[in-house]
Amino acid sequence: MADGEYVYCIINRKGAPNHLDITGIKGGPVYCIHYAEISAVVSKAPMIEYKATEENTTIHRDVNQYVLKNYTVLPVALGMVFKNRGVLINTMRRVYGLLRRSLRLVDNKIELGVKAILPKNKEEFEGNIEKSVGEFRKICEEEYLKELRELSVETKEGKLFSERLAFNYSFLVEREKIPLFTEKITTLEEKYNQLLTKYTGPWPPYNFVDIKIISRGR
Amino acid sequence: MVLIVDDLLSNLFVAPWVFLFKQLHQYALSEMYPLEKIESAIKENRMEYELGELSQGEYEEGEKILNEKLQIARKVKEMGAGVTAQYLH
Repeated sequence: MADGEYVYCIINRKGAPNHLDITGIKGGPVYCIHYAEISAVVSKAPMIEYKATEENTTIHRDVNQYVLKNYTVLPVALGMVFKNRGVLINTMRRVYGLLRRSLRLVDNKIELGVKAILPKNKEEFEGNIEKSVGEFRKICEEEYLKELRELSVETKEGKLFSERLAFNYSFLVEREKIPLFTEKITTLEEKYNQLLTKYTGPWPPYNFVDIKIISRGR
Repeated sequence: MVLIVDDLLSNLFVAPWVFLFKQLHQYALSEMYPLEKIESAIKENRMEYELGELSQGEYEEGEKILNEKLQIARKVKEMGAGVTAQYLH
């Protein structure tokens, strides 16, 4: 079976390279397929189902992170393979308006993640705070949100997948505000040092873009 | 003729019970392999590793077990849709 075009993300065509210095899924070189004012970042890969294994997820994420260094990225879900260039371009044509609008919304912006985690030793933690755990969590969360929202365009609450998570948020932030945002996090970490703060990013705006593209000929 | 009528009657009586049994079986499996809880456990495992609370070996062992449970949970979920579809057909 011939290889298809595996898509990692969509970027603006202006300034987009033809080839990128990174290897994609199944070892294929990464390059761009252009249509009008947008480009799809792709590599040749077999037309199979791509499961969310550690390997696949890492490669998909690494390509997106590489592109993010220099471009506004509209991330595409793992496993989107198109039969050939023609089918991909047809799909880009069909959803062109949506992709352009989405790129404008996230232009020059990245995602930053903030999680506050309760320490493993619950008794020691309770001894270090003067309030109940619930009250302390609420106060921290309110202050973190108040300070960080000032530097963000948008905020999304994440799932509390662990009982130890005090809160979990993603922030859509303009690139130039990253240093200020980081400084703010440092200040808050020092103030609420009883909590473990996990600050991650920059990421492509995974939590702020939700485009589902179903191509019949894919 | 009697045998054909007998067959028809037994299918009419048996089919709902078979469906009920399959539904109960499906429910029991989804309790044993709760998809959302397993997905949360995978993230928690990763979080503890990133915090340095798990060694790489512990993390990978946990990841392996949880991913196996995740595969089963996804199949159970697919089966659930299949059971309903079979009955409707």
